[in-house]
Amino acid sequence: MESLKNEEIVEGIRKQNPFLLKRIYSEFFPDIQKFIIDNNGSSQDAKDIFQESIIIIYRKLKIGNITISKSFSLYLLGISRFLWIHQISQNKINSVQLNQYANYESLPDFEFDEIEKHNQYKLYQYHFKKLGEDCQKILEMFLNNIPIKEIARKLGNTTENYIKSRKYKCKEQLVNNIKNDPQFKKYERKGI
Amino acid sequence: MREKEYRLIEKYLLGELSEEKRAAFDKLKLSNPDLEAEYILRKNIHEAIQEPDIMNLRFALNEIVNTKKQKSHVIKNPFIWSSVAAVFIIVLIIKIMFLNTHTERYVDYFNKYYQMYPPVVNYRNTEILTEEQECLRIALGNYENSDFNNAELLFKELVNKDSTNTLAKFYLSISMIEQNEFIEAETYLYELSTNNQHLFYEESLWYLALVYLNNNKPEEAKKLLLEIISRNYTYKHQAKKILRSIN
Repeated sequence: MESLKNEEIVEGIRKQNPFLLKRIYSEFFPDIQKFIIDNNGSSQDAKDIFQESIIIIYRKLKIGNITISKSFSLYLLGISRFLWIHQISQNKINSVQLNQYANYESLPDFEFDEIEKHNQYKLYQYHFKKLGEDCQKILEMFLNNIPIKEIARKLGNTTENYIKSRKYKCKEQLVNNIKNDPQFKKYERKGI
Repeated sequence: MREKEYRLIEKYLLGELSEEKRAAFDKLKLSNPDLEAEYILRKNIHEAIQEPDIMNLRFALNEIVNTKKQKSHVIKNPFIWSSVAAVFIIVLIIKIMFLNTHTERYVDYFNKYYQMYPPVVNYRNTEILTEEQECLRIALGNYENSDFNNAELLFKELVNKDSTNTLAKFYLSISMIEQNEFIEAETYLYELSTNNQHLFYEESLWYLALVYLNNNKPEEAKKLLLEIISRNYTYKHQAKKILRSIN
């Protein structure tokens, strides 16, 4: 099978094309896996890092474009290396040192803060997805500015007061679950 | 920090405060570092959960990276097969021996785990209510005062008028359970469990599972309990405990 061109890959990620995402995985995952396993990681770590690297690229594409000076393979590996080093060194080196390492890695258009924010949002989204389906539905509808009357109608002709009270409880459940997550406590300790 | 402040932050984030109140909140934040920190956390959570595209992409990638080719594990040693068969027969005998004991135990699970669902809807006295809302208010009042007979009559009236009124249907089911009308409650809870587009879906599954246990339908109950666990619903811990005991 012919290798994917950079433009095809970028469009595949931008449009979340399942076919191209599978091809990107088949073509580029082995290099990521080798790097992670060579650096004390597991196969599952490699999968997680690959996944998050693609999402970080997608995030960049949402707000503009990315600059791939050489090959996509090297670009992706660069992000994955950075993420992995960040993960294993979380408690060992501080953010200044990590920024220096990032410079050493010479990652293009990349900021340390972006990774931190990405990781935090990942944690928040993880807990959001762990909420019950009805809680997710209510919060989504509120965030999409759907009128409360319409929400009450859609969720089984219930009352507006009930919806308000349920929405508040769902949000509090989400915030409490996040606050009780050991990962969040790490961020808190670091003052992020 | 108190609930009042959490509510204020949430209103601020959802744009539900007037200009004046927003300005007052901004001022308050500056003088209160705890409030500021809580606000930043909630703002970030608010932003994070507004990224359905990112969550969808993560889900799609997760599916791709975790799809494994299934390998068939064929046991070649005939001795292992005979051992497996022997264990199976022993388990079957034990199951048959304890079948009657289990029949009694299913009801016990109901008794142990059933709790009346709280009446969560309140109407303020100042509100002008429609005929249905007034009926619902009285029904919930009856329910709250444990007058389940009258509550049932009113909830049924509401359901008969509008079969999509899931709130009334749900409280009707619980009112019936409270009066040991388990067969009728099962019918209404089953109806609620066939549509997941309402607020009482999770609760319906849980109460239906309990009613199934009470009505000696363990297999139906197990299916629902498994669903509660796999979907990570509120009652998952209780569901796990019951399943562990049953199995």
